[in-house]
Amino acid sequence: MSHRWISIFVIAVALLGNAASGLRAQTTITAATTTLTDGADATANGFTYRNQTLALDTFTAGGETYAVTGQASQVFVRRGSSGVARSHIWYETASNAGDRFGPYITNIEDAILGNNLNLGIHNMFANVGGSSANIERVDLIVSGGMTAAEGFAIPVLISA
Amino acid sequence: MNPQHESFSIALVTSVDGAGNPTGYSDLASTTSFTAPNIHNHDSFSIERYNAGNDTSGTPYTIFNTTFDQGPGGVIFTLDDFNVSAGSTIYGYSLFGFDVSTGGDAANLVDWTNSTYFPGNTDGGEGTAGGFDFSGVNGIFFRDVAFAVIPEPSVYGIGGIAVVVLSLFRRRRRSSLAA
Repeated sequence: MSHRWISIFVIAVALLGNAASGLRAQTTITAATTTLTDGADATANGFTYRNQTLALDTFTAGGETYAVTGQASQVFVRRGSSGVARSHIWYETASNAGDRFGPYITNIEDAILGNNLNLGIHNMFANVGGSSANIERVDLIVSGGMTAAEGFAIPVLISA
Repeated sequence: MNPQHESFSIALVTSVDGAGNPTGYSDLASTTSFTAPNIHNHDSFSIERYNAGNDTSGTPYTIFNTTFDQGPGGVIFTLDDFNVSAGSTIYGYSLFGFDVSTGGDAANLVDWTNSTYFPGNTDGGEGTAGGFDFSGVNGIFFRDVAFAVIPEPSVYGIGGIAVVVLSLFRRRRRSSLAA
Protein backbone atom coordinates (compact mmCIF):
# COMPACT_ATOMS: atom_id res chain seq x y z
CA MET A 1 0.00 0.00 0.00
CA SER A 2 1.44 3.38 -0.99
CA HIS A 3 1.89 6.26 1.46
CA ARG A 4 -0.85 8.11 -0.40
CA TRP A 5 -3.42 5.39 0.22
CA ILE A 6 -2.32 5.05 3.83
CA SER A 7 -2.84 8.80 4.32
CA ILE A 8 -6.30 8.64 2.75
CA PHE A 9 -7.19 5.68 4.97
CA VAL A 10 -6.03 7.49 8.14
CA ILE A 11 -7.96 10.66 7.25
CA ALA A 12 -11.11 8.65 6.48
CA VAL A 13 -10.93 6.84 9.80
CA ALA A 14 -10.45 10.17 11.63
CA LEU A 15 -13.43 11.73 9.85
CA LEU A 16 -15.65 8.75 10.59
CA GLY A 17 -14.65 8.87 14.24
CA ASN A 18 -15.56 12.55 14.51
CA ALA A 19 -18.86 12.04 12.76
CA ALA A 20 -19.84 9.24 15.11
CA SER A 21 -18.94 11.32 18.16
CA GLY A 22 -20.89 14.36 16.95
CA LEU A 23 -23.98 12.34 16.18
CA ARG A 24 -24.26 10.75 19.58
CA ALA A 25 -26.16 13.69 21.03
CA GLN A 26 -28.81 13.01 18.44
CA THR A 27 -29.26 9.34 19.22
CA THR A 28 -32.98 9.07 19.79
CA ILE A 29 -34.68 6.80 22.27
CA THR A 30 -36.74 4.28 20.36
CA ALA A 31 -38.29 2.13 23.10
CA ALA A 32 -38.67 2.06 26.86
CA THR A 33 -39.94 0.03 29.78
CA THR A 34 -41.71 1.69 32.68
CA THR A 35 -43.20 0.94 36.08
CA LEU A 36 -46.44 2.48 37.30
CA THR A 37 -47.00 3.10 41.00
CA ASP A 38 -50.22 4.52 42.42
CA GLY A 39 -50.44 6.45 45.68
CA ALA A 40 -53.38 7.93 47.53
CA ASP A 41 -55.32 10.57 45.63
CA ALA A 42 -55.13 14.21 46.68
CA THR A 43 -57.58 17.01 46.02
CA ALA A 44 -56.38 20.56 45.56
CA ASN A 45 -57.29 23.61 43.54
CA GLY A 46 -60.45 21.94 42.32
CA PHE A 47 -58.62 18.97 40.82
CA THR A 48 -58.02 15.38 41.81
CA TYR A 49 -54.38 14.38 41.64
CA ARG A 50 -54.19 10.58 41.30
CA ASN A 51 -50.63 10.52 42.66
CA GLN A 52 -49.35 8.11 40.03
CA THR A 53 -45.72 7.79 39.02
CA LEU A 54 -44.80 6.31 35.66
CA ALA A 55 -41.07 5.71 36.06
CA LEU A 56 -38.62 5.04 33.25
CA ASP A 57 -36.77 1.76 33.99
CA THR A 58 -34.92 1.01 30.75
CA PHE A 59 -34.70 2.47 27.29
CA THR A 60 -33.25 1.53 23.93
CA ALA A 61 -31.16 3.94 21.87
CA GLY A 62 -28.78 3.23 19.03
CA GLY A 63 -29.47 -0.48 19.38
CA GLU A 64 -28.26 -0.54 23.00
CA THR A 65 -30.34 -1.03 26.13
CA TYR A 66 -29.76 1.20 29.14
CA ALA A 67 -30.91 0.68 32.75
CA VAL A 68 -31.13 3.02 35.74
CA THR A 69 -27.98 3.21 37.87
CA GLY A 70 -28.47 6.29 40.03
CA GLN A 71 -30.29 9.51 40.77
CA ALA A 72 -29.39 13.07 41.64
CA SER A 73 -30.17 14.17 45.19
CA GLN A 74 -30.39 17.95 44.77
CA VAL A 75 -31.95 20.31 42.25
CA PHE A 76 -31.32 24.03 41.90
CA VAL A 77 -33.48 26.29 39.74
CA ARG A 78 -31.36 29.31 38.69
CA ARG A 79 -33.36 32.33 37.61
CA GLY A 80 -32.34 35.60 36.00
CA SER A 81 -32.80 38.92 37.75
CA SER A 82 -35.27 40.36 35.26
CA GLY A 83 -38.68 39.12 34.28
CA VAL A 84 -41.36 37.29 36.23
CA ALA A 85 -40.37 34.22 38.24
CA ARG A 86 -43.12 31.81 37.26
CA SER A 87 -43.45 28.04 37.23
CA HIS A 88 -45.36 26.03 34.66
CA ILE A 89 -46.22 22.38 35.15
CA TRP A 90 -47.88 20.18 32.56
CA TYR A 91 -49.90 17.20 33.72
CA GLU A 92 -51.13 14.21 31.77
CA THR A 93 -54.86 14.12 32.47
CA ALA A 94 -57.48 11.39 32.53
CA SER A 95 -59.73 13.44 30.27
CA ASN A 96 -59.88 16.96 28.90
CA ALA A 97 -59.50 19.18 32.02
CA GLY A 98 -59.97 16.05 34.14
CA ASP A 99 -58.01 14.34 36.89
CA ARG A 100 -54.25 14.82 36.92
CA PHE A 101 -52.45 11.47 36.87
CA GLY A 102 -49.41 12.80 38.72
CA PRO A 103 -49.03 13.88 42.35
CA TYR A 104 -50.04 17.25 43.78
CA ILE A 105 -46.81 19.24 43.67
CA THR A 106 -46.15 22.26 45.87
CA ASN A 107 -42.72 23.20 44.52
CA ILE A 108 -41.43 23.12 40.95
CA GLU A 109 -38.24 21.44 42.15
CA ASP A 110 -40.32 18.33 42.91
CA ALA A 111 -41.65 18.33 39.37
CA ILE A 112 -38.16 18.60 37.87
CA LEU A 113 -36.10 16.18 39.95
CA GLY A 114 -37.58 12.71 39.70
CA ASN A 115 -38.65 9.95 37.40
CA ASN A 116 -42.21 10.50 36.24
CA LEU A 117 -43.38 10.51 32.64
CA ASN A 118 -46.87 11.83 33.34
CA LEU A 119 -45.86 15.40 34.20
CA GLY A 120 -43.19 17.93 33.35
CA ILE A 121 -42.17 21.56 32.96
CA HIS A 122 -43.58 23.85 30.28
CA ASN A 123 -41.29 26.36 28.51
CA MET A 124 -38.62 25.98 31.18
CA PHE A 125 -36.07 28.43 29.75
CA ALA A 126 -38.34 31.12 28.31
CA ASN A 127 -37.59 34.70 29.42
CA VAL A 128 -40.21 36.52 27.39
CA GLY A 129 -43.82 35.85 26.50
CA GLY A 130 -46.81 34.78 28.54
CA SER A 131 -45.30 31.42 29.45
CA SER A 132 -41.92 32.81 30.49
CA ALA A 133 -40.42 31.65 33.78
CA ASN A 134 -37.05 33.46 33.73
CA ILE A 135 -35.11 30.26 34.44
CA GLU A 136 -31.58 30.27 33.07
CA ARG A 137 -30.18 27.00 34.31
CA VAL A 138 -31.32 23.89 36.18
CA ASP A 139 -28.75 21.91 38.17
CA LEU A 140 -29.28 18.24 39.03
CA ILE A 141 -26.61 17.42 41.58
CA VAL A 142 -25.28 14.20 43.10
CA SER A 143 -24.10 14.90 46.63
CA GLY A 144 -20.55 13.61 47.02
CA GLY A 145 -20.24 12.96 43.29
CA MET A 146 -20.28 9.74 41.33
CA THR A 147 -17.97 7.85 39.00
CA ALA A 148 -19.02 8.10 35.39
CA ALA A 149 -18.50 4.51 34.28
CA GLU A 150 -18.12 3.30 30.72
CA GLY A 151 -21.56 3.07 29.12
CA PHE A 152 -22.87 6.02 31.17
CA ALA A 153 -25.82 7.84 29.61
CA ILE A 154 -28.28 10.60 30.41
CA PRO A 155 -31.65 10.56 28.66
CA VAL A 156 -33.42 13.88 28.15
CA LEU A 157 -37.10 13.56 27.34
CA ILE A 158 -39.03 16.39 25.76
CA SER A 159 -42.77 16.57 25.33
CA ALA A 160 -44.28 17.54 22.02
CA MET B 1 -46.41 9.72 17.19
CA ASN B 2 -43.03 10.92 16.02
CA PRO B 3 -43.11 14.65 16.80
CA GLN B 4 -40.55 17.38 16.32
CA HIS B 5 -38.69 18.57 19.40
CA GLU B 6 -36.72 21.79 19.87
CA SER B 7 -33.06 22.16 20.77
CA PHE B 8 -31.53 22.49 24.20
CA SER B 9 -28.08 22.24 25.81
CA ILE B 10 -26.58 20.20 28.64
CA ALA B 11 -23.23 19.92 30.44
CA LEU B 12 -21.85 17.65 33.14
CA VAL B 13 -20.98 19.25 36.47
CA THR B 14 -17.32 18.46 37.15
CA SER B 15 -16.94 20.23 40.50
CA VAL B 16 -19.16 21.77 43.19
CA ASP B 17 -18.76 23.83 46.34
CA GLY B 18 -19.78 22.67 49.80
CA ALA B 19 -23.45 23.47 49.17
CA GLY B 20 -23.62 21.61 45.87
CA ASN B 21 -23.42 24.69 43.65
CA PRO B 22 -21.58 23.91 40.39
CA THR B 23 -18.09 25.42 40.15
CA GLY B 24 -16.90 23.58 37.04
CA TYR B 25 -18.34 22.14 33.85
CA SER B 26 -17.54 19.78 31.02
CA ASP B 27 -17.92 20.79 27.40
CA LEU B 28 -21.41 22.00 26.51
CA ALA B 29 -23.39 19.52 24.39
CA SER B 30 -26.38 20.61 22.33
CA THR B 31 -28.99 19.04 20.16
CA THR B 32 -30.35 20.34 16.95
CA SER B 33 -34.11 20.08 16.66
CA PHE B 34 -35.00 16.42 16.41
CA THR B 35 -37.83 13.99 15.88
CA ALA B 36 -38.26 11.05 18.22
CA PRO B 37 -41.02 8.56 18.85
CA ASN B 38 -43.09 9.00 21.98
CA ILE B 39 -42.10 6.52 24.64
CA HIS B 40 -45.41 7.19 26.38
CA ASN B 41 -48.56 8.52 24.73
CA HIS B 42 -50.95 10.90 26.43
CA ASP B 43 -54.64 11.13 25.68
CA SER B 44 -54.91 14.63 27.13
CA PHE B 45 -52.97 17.10 29.23
CA SER B 46 -53.20 20.45 31.01
CA ILE B 47 -50.65 23.19 31.67
CA GLU B 48 -50.82 25.16 34.91
CA ARG B 49 -49.11 28.47 35.66
CA TYR B 50 -47.96 29.65 39.08
CA ASN B 51 -46.71 33.18 39.70
CA ALA B 52 -44.79 32.66 42.95
CA GLY B 53 -41.34 31.51 41.86
CA ASN B 54 -40.72 27.88 42.75
CA ASP B 55 -43.83 27.69 44.98
CA THR B 56 -46.61 25.81 43.20
CA SER B 57 -48.92 25.32 46.18
CA GLY B 58 -51.27 28.17 45.25
CA THR B 59 -54.24 28.13 42.92
CA PRO B 60 -52.90 27.87 39.38
CA TYR B 61 -54.01 29.57 36.23
CA THR B 62 -54.70 26.84 33.67
CA ILE B 63 -53.15 27.95 30.40
CA PHE B 64 -55.03 25.33 28.48
CA ASN B 65 -56.53 21.86 28.53
CA THR B 66 -56.32 19.77 25.42
CA THR B 67 -56.64 16.28 24.02
CA PHE B 68 -53.44 16.72 22.04
CA ASP B 69 -50.84 13.99 22.69
CA GLN B 70 -48.07 15.56 24.79
CA GLY B 71 -46.18 12.29 25.20
CA PRO B 72 -42.43 12.59 25.67
CA GLY B 73 -39.68 11.43 23.34
CA GLY B 74 -35.98 12.02 23.70
CA VAL B 75 -32.30 11.67 22.99
CA ILE B 76 -29.38 10.42 25.04
CA PHE B 77 -26.02 11.91 25.93
CA THR B 78 -22.93 9.84 26.63
CA LEU B 79 -19.52 10.77 28.04
CA ASP B 80 -18.11 11.38 24.56
CA ASP B 81 -20.63 14.16 24.03
CA PHE B 82 -19.11 16.01 26.99
CA ASN B 83 -15.49 15.12 26.26
CA VAL B 84 -15.29 13.37 29.64
CA SER B 85 -13.36 10.12 30.17
CA ALA B 86 -14.87 7.02 31.74
CA GLY B 87 -13.86 6.77 35.38
CA SER B 88 -14.08 10.52 35.95
CA THR B 89 -15.90 11.87 38.99
CA ILE B 90 -18.92 13.98 38.11
CA TYR B 91 -21.50 15.74 40.26
CA GLY B 92 -24.54 15.56 38.01
CA TYR B 93 -25.50 17.83 35.14
CA SER B 94 -27.13 21.12 34.24
CA LEU B 95 -29.73 21.88 31.60
CA PHE B 96 -29.67 25.10 29.57
CA GLY B 97 -31.65 26.81 26.88
CA PHE B 98 -30.24 26.35 23.40
CA ASP B 99 -29.09 30.00 23.21
CA VAL B 100 -26.64 29.63 26.12
CA SER B 101 -22.99 29.66 25.04
CA THR B 102 -19.58 29.19 26.65
CA GLY B 103 -17.54 31.70 24.64
CA GLY B 104 -15.01 28.91 24.26
CA ASP B 105 -14.60 28.42 28.01
CA ALA B 106 -16.90 26.07 29.94
CA ALA B 107 -16.16 28.11 33.10
CA ASN B 108 -18.58 30.71 31.71
CA LEU B 109 -21.45 28.34 32.45
CA VAL B 110 -20.97 28.83 36.20
CA ASP B 111 -22.47 32.34 36.46
CA TRP B 112 -26.03 32.09 35.14
CA THR B 113 -26.57 35.84 35.71
CA ASN B 114 -24.01 36.77 33.04
CA SER B 115 -26.18 37.80 30.11
CA THR B 116 -23.22 37.53 27.73
CA TYR B 117 -23.54 33.77 27.94
CA PHE B 118 -27.10 33.44 29.31
CA PRO B 119 -29.31 35.66 27.12
CA GLY B 120 -32.15 37.23 29.10
CA ASN B 121 -34.49 37.42 26.13
CA THR B 122 -35.00 33.74 25.36
CA ASP B 123 -38.23 33.35 23.45
CA GLY B 124 -40.85 30.87 24.61
CA GLY B 125 -42.60 30.56 21.27
CA GLU B 126 -43.00 27.28 19.46
CA GLY B 127 -39.74 26.23 17.80
CA THR B 128 -37.59 28.69 19.76
CA ALA B 129 -34.77 28.26 22.30
CA GLY B 130 -37.19 28.32 25.23
CA GLY B 131 -40.35 26.95 23.70
CA PHE B 132 -40.24 23.32 24.69
CA ASP B 133 -41.39 21.19 27.59
CA PHE B 134 -39.17 18.90 29.63
CA SER B 135 -40.61 15.70 31.04
CA GLY B 136 -40.50 14.83 34.73
CA VAL B 137 -37.57 12.44 34.19
CA ASN B 138 -34.53 14.45 35.23
CA GLY B 139 -31.44 13.67 37.28
CA ILE B 140 -31.75 9.96 36.51
CA PHE B 141 -28.56 8.22 35.38
CA PHE B 142 -28.42 5.17 33.14
CA ARG B 143 -25.81 2.73 31.92
CA ASP B 144 -25.58 0.50 28.88
CA VAL B 145 -26.40 -2.96 30.23
CA ALA B 146 -23.66 -4.42 28.03
CA PHE B 147 -21.13 -2.81 30.40
CA ALA B 148 -22.86 -3.93 33.55
CA VAL B 149 -22.90 -7.69 33.05
CA ILE B 150 -22.22 -9.55 36.29
CA PRO B 151 -20.68 -12.99 35.71
CA GLU B 152 -22.91 -15.94 36.55
CA PRO B 153 -21.82 -18.03 39.56
CA SER B 154 -20.94 -20.82 37.14
CA VAL B 155 -18.35 -18.53 35.54
CA TYR B 156 -16.69 -18.04 38.92
CA GLY B 157 -16.77 -21.83 39.40
CA ILE B 158 -15.09 -22.53 36.07
CA GLY B 159 -12.50 -19.87 36.84
CA GLY B 160 -11.77 -21.46 40.21
CA ILE B 161 -11.36 -24.91 38.67
CA ALA B 162 -8.99 -23.46 36.07
CA VAL B 163 -6.83 -21.92 38.81
CA VAL B 164 -6.67 -25.21 40.72
CA VAL B 165 -5.77 -27.24 37.59
CA LEU B 166 -3.11 -24.70 36.60
CA SER B 167 -1.59 -24.80 40.10
CA LEU B 168 -1.47 -28.60 40.08
CA PHE B 169 0.12 -28.61 36.64
CA ARG B 170 2.85 -26.14 37.67
CA ARG B 171 3.50 -28.06 40.89
CA ARG B 172 3.85 -31.35 38.99
CA ARG B 173 6.17 -29.67 36.47
CA ARG B 174 8.40 -28.32 39.27
CA SER B 175 8.51 -31.81 40.80
CA SER B 176 9.55 -33.34 37.46
CA LEU B 177 12.33 -30.77 36.99
CA ALA B 178 13.62 -31.34 40.51
CA ALA B 179 13.78 -35.11 39.85
